[in-house]
Formats: sequence, C-alpha cells, structure tokens
Amino acid sequence: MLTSDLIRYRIVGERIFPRYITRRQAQTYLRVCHQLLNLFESHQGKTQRELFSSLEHLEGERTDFKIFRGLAKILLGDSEFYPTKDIDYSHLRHWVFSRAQKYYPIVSKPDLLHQSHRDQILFEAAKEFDLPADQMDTLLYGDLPDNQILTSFRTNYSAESLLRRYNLALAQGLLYRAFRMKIVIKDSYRVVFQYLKLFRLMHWIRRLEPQGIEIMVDGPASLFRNTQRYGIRMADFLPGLLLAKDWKMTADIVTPQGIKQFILDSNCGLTSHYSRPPLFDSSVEANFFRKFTRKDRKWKIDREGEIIDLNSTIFIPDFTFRHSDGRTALLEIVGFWTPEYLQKKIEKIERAKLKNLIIAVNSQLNCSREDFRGEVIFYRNGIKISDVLEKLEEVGC
Amino acid sequence: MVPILRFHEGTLVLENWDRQAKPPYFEWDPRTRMWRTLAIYYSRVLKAFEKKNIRFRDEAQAFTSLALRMKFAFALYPHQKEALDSWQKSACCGTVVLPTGSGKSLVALYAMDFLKVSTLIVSPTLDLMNQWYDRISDAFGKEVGVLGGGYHEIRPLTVTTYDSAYRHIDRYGNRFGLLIFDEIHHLPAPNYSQIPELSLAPYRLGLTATYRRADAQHLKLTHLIGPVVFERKIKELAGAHLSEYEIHRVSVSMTPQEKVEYDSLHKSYEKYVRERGIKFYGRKWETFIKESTYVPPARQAMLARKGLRQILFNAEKKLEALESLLKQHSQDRVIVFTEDNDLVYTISRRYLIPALTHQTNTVERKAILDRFRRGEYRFLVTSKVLNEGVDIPEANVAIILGGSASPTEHLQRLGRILRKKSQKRAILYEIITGGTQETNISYRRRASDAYQ
Repeated sequence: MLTSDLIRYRIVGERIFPRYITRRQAQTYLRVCHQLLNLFESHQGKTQRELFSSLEHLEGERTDFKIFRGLAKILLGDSEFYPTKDIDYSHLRHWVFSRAQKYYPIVSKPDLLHQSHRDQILFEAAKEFDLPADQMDTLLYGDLPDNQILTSFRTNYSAESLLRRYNLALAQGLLYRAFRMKIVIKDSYRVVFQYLKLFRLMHWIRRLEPQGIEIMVDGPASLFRNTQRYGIRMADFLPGLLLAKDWKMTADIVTPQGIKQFILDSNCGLTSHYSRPPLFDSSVEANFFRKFTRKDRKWKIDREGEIIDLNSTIFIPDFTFRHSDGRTALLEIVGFWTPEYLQKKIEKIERAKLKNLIIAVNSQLNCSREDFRGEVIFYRNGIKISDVLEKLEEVGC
Repeated sequence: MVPILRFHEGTLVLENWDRQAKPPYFEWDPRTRMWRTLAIYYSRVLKAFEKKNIRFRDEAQAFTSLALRMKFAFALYPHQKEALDSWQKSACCGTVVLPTGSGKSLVALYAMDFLKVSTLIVSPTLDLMNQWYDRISDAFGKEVGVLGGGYHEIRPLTVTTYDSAYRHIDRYGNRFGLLIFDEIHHLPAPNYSQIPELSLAPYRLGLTATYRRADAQHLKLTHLIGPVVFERKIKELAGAHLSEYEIHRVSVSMTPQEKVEYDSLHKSYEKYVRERGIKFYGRKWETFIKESTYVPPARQAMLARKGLRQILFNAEKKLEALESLLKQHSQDRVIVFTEDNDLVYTISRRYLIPALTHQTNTVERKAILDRFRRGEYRFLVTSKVLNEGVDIPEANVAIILGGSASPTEHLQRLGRILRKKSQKRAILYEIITGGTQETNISYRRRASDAYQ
C-alpha cells in the first residue's frame, strides 16, 4: 500500500485519474524496477539503514522521486526486518546505562580528571550477555528499525509485475478517500460478492434491464454520514473486482478540490494479484458439476448462476440450468451444518418464492421437506444426476 | 420476541422490531433490513425506551465496571475540584477548559476514579499517548492497553491517538464507558468526530486549553461530548507554577570540513532562493516545495537546504561543548534535547546515556522515565519526544542542541524542566552554531516573552 504522499493523480473537471506509468514511460521505469529489485536482493543481510541510504543514493536528484519511492515502497511492504541477535535489548541497555552511571561523565577524550570507561563497560556487557565485543556499539540499539536486518526478501516480482502492481496501488490509493462506490456488472457476480463479504463491505442492489445489476458499496455508518472510513476496505476489494468481467466502477473520492469521480471498467488494464476463489464451495458441488457435464445433455448447466434480487439482499443459487427450448431452472445445495446458516438459507429460499427452484438437501441435516418452499431432493454422499434431471422436467419454465 | 439491541461496527441495530413502527433515533436500513442508528445515541435510546417502558435485551454495550482506586491521593487545587464537580453535575458529559500546566490530567484521573468504568483516552500525538500511559499506570497500578504506535492491545483502560481511534473505533466502540479526549480542539475534524459518533460510551470528558476554533467547529462538540462545564483563563492561574531559572548560550564554530561543505551548499541554495525571491512563508514557499518535486533546480535547492540543516544540527563541535557541560554537571540531573533522532543515538552511544525518541516503545519509555525520576539514571537524551507536557520536575539542567525556530516549542521545552519542585534553580544551556543562519533562529526565539 502506498502512503498518501506517494499517490499521484490529476483532476480534470469532475473526474480524478491516477497518474499511471504509461506504456510510453514503461521502458524508463522497467529499468528503475530492475535496479530496485537488484538493490533489495543485494541488501539481504544488511541493515535497514544501509538499505535506506542506498535507496536515497539511487534516487539521487531525480525529480520523479515519487514514482521511485512508490516502487520502493511496494517492495518494502513485502520485506521483513529482524534484529541481528534475539536478545532482550532494553535489558541490555539498562545494564549498560546503570553501569555507566557510576562512571559519569563518560568522555570521548580522556584527560587528567576523566578517564574513559566506555570501552570497558561495553566489554563487560559483551561478556555478561555473551555477545561479540567488537559489535557492541551497534548491538546496543540492534532492535531499532534502522539497525534491523533485511532477512527476507522473497517476492516473486519481476520488473514487469512490479510496474503493474504500482499502477494498481495508485488506483487503490485513490480509493482510500472514497466514501461510496458504484459497480455496474453483467456477469461473474459470485467473485464480486465473495470479495465484498471478505472485506466486510455492505451493499445496495438494483436490478438492471435487460441484464446485470448495480451494486452500491459502502459500510454500516454510511447510512448516516458520508465517510471515508470504508475506503481502505474498498481499496482492498478492488483487486477482487478486477477478477470479474464486464463491469464498470464509479467511486466518489474526497479531494481538496471537492468530490471527484474515479471511474474504472473491465478494460482498464489493471491486473489483480488476488486468487480467483475456488469455483465450488464443496466437493458435493464439484462432483455434481463434473458428473453433469460429462455427457451432452438437453439441459446445459451454468455455475455463474442467475442472480435473484431479494429487495436489496441477493440470492445466487448454486447452479442454473438452461434447456435448448428456453426453459430454465435453478439448483441450490444445502449441505451445511450450523443452525444460523441453515436458518438464513431457509429464510432466503422462502423469500425468493421461486417456482423453478430445486433444493438438494443433505439427508444428515436435521430438516424435513416442509422446511423449504420448493422442490426438495435429499442426498447422502452425492447428488444423483437422475434425481435432478427428473425434477428439471417438472419445474423448468 | 423481545427486541435486541446490538452494536454493529460503530452503529446500533435493533432486531425483532416492527418495520412499520419507527423507534426513536433509528432509521430503517434496507441493506440489512434492520433499524439502525449511530452508536452515540446509545444513552438517548436507553432513556427513551425507559420512558416508554419498552422491554428489550441490551447486547450492545460491552464495557465493564472496574475496581479502580488511585494509588496516591493527590490533593486537588480548588480550580480542579470545581472542574470535576461541574462535570459530574453535567451527567459526566462535557469539556473542561484549563490552561496548559494547570493539571488537567489530574481532573481526568479523578473522573476515572469516580466512574470506575472501562475508559479510552485519546490524544493527538504518540508522545501524549505515551504520557497518558505513564500517568494512568502509575495512578491506578493497572495494566494499561495501548492502541497505536505499533501496539494493538485493548484493555479496560486503554490509551490511543486520534488517528488510531478513528481507524478502529468501529471495532471497539462498545468496549468503553468513558471517553477522554485530550486536546479536544482537534476533535471536530470530520474524520475524528466519528470517534465519539461511533462509540456508545455514555460518559465523555474533553480537555483543552484552547476550546474555540477559528472555523467555529467547536460548536459541534456540544453534540459529540457535551457542553463546556468549566473554564479558567491563564491570567487567573499564572505565576504559581514556574520556578527561577538561568539561561546560558554556548556558541560553537564548525569544523573546517563542515565549514567548507556548509559554504558550498549555502551558496547554491542562497543563489536559487535569491533569484526566485523565495520567502520562508506563504505562497512562494509553498510553490518552492511543490516545484521541488518536478523542477530539477528546485529539487537541488531543496536537497541543499536539507544538507545545510543536517550540518547545523549535527556539528561535531556541539558534541565537544556538550561533553564539557556533562563534565561540569556530572552530579546533576540533566536532560539533553536534540533536533533529530540520529543525534540522539550518537550521543546515547558515545556517552552511554539513556535515550528517548519516538522509536522508543511505550513500555521501555516508561521504565526510562521512572528510573530518571528515581535518580537511577541521572542523564537523559531525547529528541522532540518530551515536547508537550511531560513532567520531569527532577531535572535541573537542560541542554538544547540545535532546535527549530518555533517559539512555542521552545517554551514547552523550557516549561518541562522548570516545573516547580523544591526550591532549586534550574539552568538552561543552548548550544548553537555560530556565524550561520541558526543564530537567527535563536534570536527569533529570544524574542518570545518567556525570556523577559
């Protein structure tokens, strides 16, 4: 994550744009990326102070130091620093300073009245704490960030991926100051909702004609205040959104010049470093899908299902089936144990009032046919294809 | 079903409540299909429900009563006693306005002792947060939690900063019954004002010396905290707290090498500044700072300026002067102030003197201060960390190396060692580099009235 002083943007009219590194600038900055990667690589085992001073040196008088520092900042975020020795440093210091009290003042140039006891005290401390005497000068403050050692720098960055990550970080940086985000999306809802949930964002949903939905993203207190409090979560969410296809995002950003719009869409060219969440939540789902698609059937199965608008909450059944004659049907699998989850699911199914919904219920769950509105089939180890095909013909419309 | 009141990320939600009957202070949230309001309305909601005899289950509040007892019975001055009384009369909600150094923190400790409930203390800086940590652990002998400065430890008594509190209040807003805001004039900023809004604490105390803001934003505080319950001006209290002191100015010259480097940097910097007619304040200065991020000559000038300051603040000769002062005062209680961290650690390592900087963690910091107060440590070297309001009445010698031109900062440093304790005479040394722009800084400082 970039700090706010490193976020570069420009404002044109009512809109705000990150100052990405463009394709034209890429040659220049790929070189910088290479230099930085080498520099970090070669500083493994050296102190943070040395790393910083090398960075400062490499930065020199360049006026684009914000880009330089931004790139370095990303690498720093993936670096770990540890003290050379694993000892109680504050205890060591206390030992040294208490001892030194007896000889105050410690002087750097001994004279007739003042001997220097400094080296002697440090030598004794080295013995006491079993440390190398010649390193005591640095070890005294070995736990300060400055003196800690770059111990792990194991990022998988290439110069190219570092550049891409930088551009993404600029876009995320603008979102820190977002108080609202609107997403229009036509497909791949699943991944979007999974990441919204992961980052504890709330949403308002509106169905769009003929296709797609509009999701307004904010947080609990947004009902009363325009707050940037959830901007960090939105920034975290962005790489999740990038995994979706065919979307457009508009975020309202607070700037010194007032509120500006930050617009991105699926053609923005930014790349996500998040992993696509597993397509299936359980082996029951996965096996069913595999078995169903093994044969060519009149009913086609679709994982990215239909989205059911439940008056500002949503329900996405696990599978959608489409017949060549235009009929559709839905399948929801209820395989989970916790009572709250079950209760919520039953409520949702209840509210959805869908005529073409098939519900497959794990027979080990403590519930009966009457708990659900809709067509229920029970399964034990795996869902039988024949059961589903039969129901499809009954409910499909 | 009995209605249930819950805390959800800085808001209150009401479950099992009819969609059609709007409860007081709540709004309908279609996202979750629940009634919702900001946590600040907690007390008011409770009162309204009580008045209407509404039965409900309160699962929102998660703060606890504590067996708090002050270890030392500090006597309250009459103005502190009055302040505490009127705050209590105002349902333990409101702000106390007292000048710097008049013992606001003692009022806060008594307020905590009175309510005996989980308390969050919020200050504008890490330094002040650390001081509250010291004070509260000393006063109540309890483990104190810290949120900020690398710590994330929540306890029934917790200290934090405005920044950290803003970031985390939605998680912990139901864990504290009392909120104390130090320097509360910072609170009305849009982000910070969410701290009291997203907390359900029924009791709130604000402290400041300067309540009124030029932008009139302090008017918001009545809603967020409560009214001003007590106010005294500086004139009504002045005089009682300062002891006598002497000031000595030690001027040192640079080493020949430093001088050469200084002159060359100064020349290039001076040239740019003169050509562009840059002044050290206002528009032109801001433009200069801005241009230094994209105009090469401006960037070079800015770097030259940085180099100049480094030489000034670090002059080797200053350390020689310091060394001779340390010899002179080897039996005294000495605090050395410097401008930057590096110098603090140089001094600490060279003379084996305990150091305090913003990098010192809260726990070690307290240990060092305690030892200094007890006399276990006689010397202490610090950067700006001790700037605001730490009491070290035990120190009787202060040595300032470098330092910036800000007179208030300077005064606060003075005030620190000059707090009244016994009848001793405090001495202040200021070591500056002669024949440079730093002399001007020091002249400017002397113009401020504490020297008269």
